[in-house]
Amino acid sequence: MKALFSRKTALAAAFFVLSVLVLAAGASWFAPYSPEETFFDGLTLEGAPLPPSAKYWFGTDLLGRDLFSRVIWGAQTSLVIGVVANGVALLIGTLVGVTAGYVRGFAGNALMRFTDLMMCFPALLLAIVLAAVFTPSLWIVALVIAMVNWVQIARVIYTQTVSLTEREFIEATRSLGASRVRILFRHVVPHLVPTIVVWGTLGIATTVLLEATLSYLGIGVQPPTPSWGNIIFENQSYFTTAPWLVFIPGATIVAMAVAFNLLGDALREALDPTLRARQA
Amino acid sequence: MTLFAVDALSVGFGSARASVPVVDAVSFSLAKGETLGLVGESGCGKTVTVMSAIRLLPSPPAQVTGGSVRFDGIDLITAPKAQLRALWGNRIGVVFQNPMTSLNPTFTIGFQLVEALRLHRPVSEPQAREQVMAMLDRVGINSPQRRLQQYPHELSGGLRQRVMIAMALICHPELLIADEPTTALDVTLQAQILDLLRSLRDELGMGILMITHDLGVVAEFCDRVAVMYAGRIVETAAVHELFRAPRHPYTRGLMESIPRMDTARDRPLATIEGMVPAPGRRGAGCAFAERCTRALERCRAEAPSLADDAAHAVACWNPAS
Repeated sequence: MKALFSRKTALAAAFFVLSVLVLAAGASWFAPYSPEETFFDGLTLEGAPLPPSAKYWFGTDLLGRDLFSRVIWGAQTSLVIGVVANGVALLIGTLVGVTAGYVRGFAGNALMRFTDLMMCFPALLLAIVLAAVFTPSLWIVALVIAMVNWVQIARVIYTQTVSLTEREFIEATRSLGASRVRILFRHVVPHLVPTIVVWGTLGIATTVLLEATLSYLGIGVQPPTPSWGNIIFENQSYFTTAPWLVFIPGATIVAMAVAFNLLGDALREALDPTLRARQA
Repeated sequence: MTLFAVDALSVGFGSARASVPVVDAVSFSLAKGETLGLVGESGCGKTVTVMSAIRLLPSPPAQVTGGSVRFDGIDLITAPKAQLRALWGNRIGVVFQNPMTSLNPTFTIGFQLVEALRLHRPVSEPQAREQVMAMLDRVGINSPQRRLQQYPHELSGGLRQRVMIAMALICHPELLIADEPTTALDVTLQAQILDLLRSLRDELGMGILMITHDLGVVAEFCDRVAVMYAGRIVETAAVHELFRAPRHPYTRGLMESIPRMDTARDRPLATIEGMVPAPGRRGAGCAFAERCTRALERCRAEAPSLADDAAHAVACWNPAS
């Protein structure tokens, strides 16, 4: 933990992520208004959105809803997708990667060729097809993203597992008479934990961005439920007259992605086995 | 009494259809309390022979294509995996070449030693720790209590090799396989580790199979020697006999290649001309014929076999006497 927070950027990133988490979790308390309420005074007399003011901190959107409340509620959607989609992707990817890397042979090859096949598919196209087949809802979108994102994780975990099982200490453990299952869980998997954790954090950023892309294309989370992606999608036509409608949620997505990436980097350093050992 | 007997063991690499022979009909045996040195240059098949004999080489790609291996009456070639696992680390201990990479970097020394013991002995954690500390003490590691808490990277190479030896010996194996245990260490440490192995051998009465390419280690440590070349044993004898009167031209070449204190400074170092033939490219004749100064017509046509049961056996058509 000390190594994790030795860098100020990592600390700032952690603080940012934490505060977004708190805001998202307590959206019903923190958001000043309902995200779906259209305000009578939310638009100008000509029907244009209002710029940021004391009443509407981030201004109002095209329907006269409070943008600040929508961004906070949107954080909930985006984070649920980030955590769920990424968690599922991580689970599938790790299972496939470890199995293929440890079993090898025909089964391992078959698994990895399937992974390659999935990787060859343009991720966005695949997501669009899947989203079109299933009616988009929060959970379906999360699953669609997981179906697209597990492949990279499987590849990384596979390579690591293969290289680990070729290491001499694994051979040495075999020479002690340890069983295959024991070697896998006691000696191989612990080495994968740093990778898994890092992909876990880095993946959240990718996932939030992918959700934003899907929502932007209209096949993500469906209105009126706000997500950071679909806020931008809904308001894009007002970009020239009310740039804050696109800029604020866009900046939030970027900030979140950067924060998660920084956190992932810091975690990787903190979880390096030899570094960790040195502190113990 | 024979503890470990390898009889005409052949090992190939690759698929069953296109198998490249790497070890060709190697035979040797080891008695209780005896030390056999298996010598040869890198890539001659020493490690493959021994590791496939105890079935530790993953198969595929390695495949035993013939011969038998018996350890205390158990046929290792046909033994099921479960039986092998009960032997490995328990009755057969292995010390690997590189102590730097043969310990798991994420666990403490104590964790790994306790695991090695508890895989085979139904002892409680505290009992195991006690036995582990006794073993660490025995291999000459002081303040074992403190070492147990340390990670491999906190120890020096010599200490790590001692830990590896402790790990291999923790269950008091009858057979210790030492695969170049001193190659990664400097010369002073080599002597210490050999001394340690020698005293442990005498104390525990185990047979040691020492794989090495270092003739100095052999002379120092072994009772008998088998010299390997290109996947075959070319000469085997008691250690004094072999050093006194090497008969195979390859063995002679090896000995002549050792620089001596009295070698003239301005003379180039002695070498054996040529290269070891690659596996799969060995012809019908003796594999050494191409490089041999004593080669005859017959050597290129027909492979010599090792004379059986002789105190000093040599596989050569034209051995030096």
